[in-house]
Amino acid sequence: MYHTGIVEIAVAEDIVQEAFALASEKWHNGIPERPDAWLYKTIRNTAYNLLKKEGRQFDHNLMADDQHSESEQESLRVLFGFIQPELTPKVQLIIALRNVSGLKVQRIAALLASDENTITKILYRWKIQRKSQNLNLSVSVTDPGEQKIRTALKILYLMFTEGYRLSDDGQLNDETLCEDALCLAKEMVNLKICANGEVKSLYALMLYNLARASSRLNALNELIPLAEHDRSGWNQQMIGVANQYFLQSQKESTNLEMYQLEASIAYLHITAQTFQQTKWHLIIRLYDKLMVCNPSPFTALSHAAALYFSGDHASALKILDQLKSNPFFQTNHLLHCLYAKIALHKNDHTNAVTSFKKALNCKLSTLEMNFVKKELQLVDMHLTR
Amino acid sequence: MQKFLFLIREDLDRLSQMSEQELEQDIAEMNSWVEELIKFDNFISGDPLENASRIVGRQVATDGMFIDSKEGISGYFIIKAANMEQAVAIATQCPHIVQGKISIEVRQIMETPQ
Repeated sequence: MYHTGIVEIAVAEDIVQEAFALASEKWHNGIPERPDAWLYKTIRNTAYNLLKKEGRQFDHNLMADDQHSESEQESLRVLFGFIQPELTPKVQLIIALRNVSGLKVQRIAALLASDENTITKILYRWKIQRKSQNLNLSVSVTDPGEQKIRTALKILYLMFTEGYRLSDDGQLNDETLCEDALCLAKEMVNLKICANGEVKSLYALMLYNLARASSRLNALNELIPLAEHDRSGWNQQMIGVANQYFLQSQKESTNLEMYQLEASIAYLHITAQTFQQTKWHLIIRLYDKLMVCNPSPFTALSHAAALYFSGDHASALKILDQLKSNPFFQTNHLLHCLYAKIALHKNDHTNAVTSFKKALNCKLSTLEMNFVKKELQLVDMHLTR
Repeated sequence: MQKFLFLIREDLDRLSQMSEQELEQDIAEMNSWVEELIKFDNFISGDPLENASRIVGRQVATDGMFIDSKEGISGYFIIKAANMEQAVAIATQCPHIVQGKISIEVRQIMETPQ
């Protein structure tokens, strides 16, 4: 729609709707040879007429020859155009999923474990608010401003994480979402948007994760712990590309920020030949820094896990105890699983069982549930022996 | 990202008279909201507070808003947000705000230069 010079979302939607209405009328006698081109032309003409009627300029420079030039850059333009740092991240994610990835409300609700009604309401409220504030899509795609760039990176990471989660059948929750996030991040790289190296760092981080996606499960579709991942199954080609961007990001940044720290941690995991050879002391130092620049309970938990793997159980327990005293984090199964693991190391099977049982009481996916059950069984077997 | 303090104010008398069941319901509602804050990486920390309070030092002059009523601070959160507007938007979605049970004072935490 941007190609026509129409920047108001409501008007753009009306025009597209009109084109489809016209199509349903005209296509009765047979569908045109290239239905997409037909639609594009119709939309273009309607927009042209509308702009002429309003005495506005039809920008021929923006005009593309056909819809195939509709590129990543346009998606990025829509993303930047729709970003409002004053909305909550959840609302911004929903807006991006609807308007950038083009997902249906039903799909968004399923992805976010919400109901359609809630999503529809959020989108409706947002539209009204945009209309009343006269916001439009005309934003510079190369220089949208620092805050929009930062918010975009966060939305892309959320988008990627939603897609990257494993669904109950052991598949990626939504591979297209991961691809969308990667393409948009890549487009930011292409446009030389740098944000202190954070753009390339995020791109590398997502690739590092995707390269290891399939090794999260064994042949029986069961979750396996990081220590037992089949490292030969990691996508080395993808890792190679990620390494390039990661190294470039280091040259671009003056100080370490969140995505570069996360990418550095992923890099250390990936470059370890075996799990035992992981450089835990370096990873722990990175988590120390991450806790300063982006503190969160999840980061604290990963920090504790790294300390546990390095053999420093006392420091790990200190972090876990702090997390456990947080009334809002007791429903996290990984917290209890880590307690169980530490108890097992001390041959304290009774407490390990208690912790695994607590983990089972948390909100778990089917895969996670089976994983914890299996761990619990192993300890139980040991106890009854 | 900037840090913000959410000060939760509500009717402390009502809070102390709540039944076990009501209290559990209250906590469950708050938990699901915080779970979402954690998921979207806005949460840093937070705790509910006990009802008892003592004030030491000189009496702070107020406009009397909280003196007559039984309003008091019942809890706090520390969150991360892009700006004040986003922090306010996040606070607005708290289920107890939606139900009109509490009020939240949103304050940006001053950044001390390193």
